Amino acid sequence: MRPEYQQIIGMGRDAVPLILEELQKEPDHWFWALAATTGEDPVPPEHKGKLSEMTKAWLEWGERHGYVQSDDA
Amino acid sequence: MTLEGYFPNLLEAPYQLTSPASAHHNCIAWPARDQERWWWPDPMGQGYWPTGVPREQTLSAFEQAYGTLGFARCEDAELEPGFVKIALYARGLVPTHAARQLPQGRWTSKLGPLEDIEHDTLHALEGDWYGEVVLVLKRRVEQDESSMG
Repeated sequence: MRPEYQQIIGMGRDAVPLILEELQKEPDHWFWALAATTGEDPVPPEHKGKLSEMTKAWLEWGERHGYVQSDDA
Repeated sequence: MTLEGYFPNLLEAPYQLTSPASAHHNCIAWPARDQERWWWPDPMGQGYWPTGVPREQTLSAFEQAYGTLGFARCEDAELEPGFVKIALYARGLVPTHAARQLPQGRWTSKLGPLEDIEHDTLHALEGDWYGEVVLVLKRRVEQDESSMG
């Protein structure tokens, strides 16, 4: 596991808004860290591994849980 | 860091960049001709991994993953007309990378989230980062890929 991943996961839930903000700026494969720190998995099986779809699923999850401000807000 | 920084053997072996960096697929997806998904058996279940194959970073799991596409273990990485081969790299027994053989005998690799390259030898990517080639798989070239790279 990449060291930055270990550091992020070590932060626990505190890392979630930071990761989601990063995802909004530049989608990348932070999904394992999100799943590890939240214990959640909002990505449907047919979207596993697909960067755009996974980013969308996690950002929508972030909105529902108050981590990400909705575009409508 | 440059590609040669990660893979010093590239300094001695000809290679060409063949497409720009992309985070949409990775080195394990690339030999499977999948440019839409990131293949990885992460324990959190976020990467794509073929159904029914153990989500573990073992040679057996990676062999089974490519096995779902018809690839089976073979003896060597020599060019065999009518077959396409995949070489699996590992550090110790932990898979790290895979390269696909092209019809002329060169190899194509996607370097994680970085560029993909064509390289003359498998040795070109061996070293600290990917380890060494530990397993070669092959399958018959399918009609629709006989004209593809």
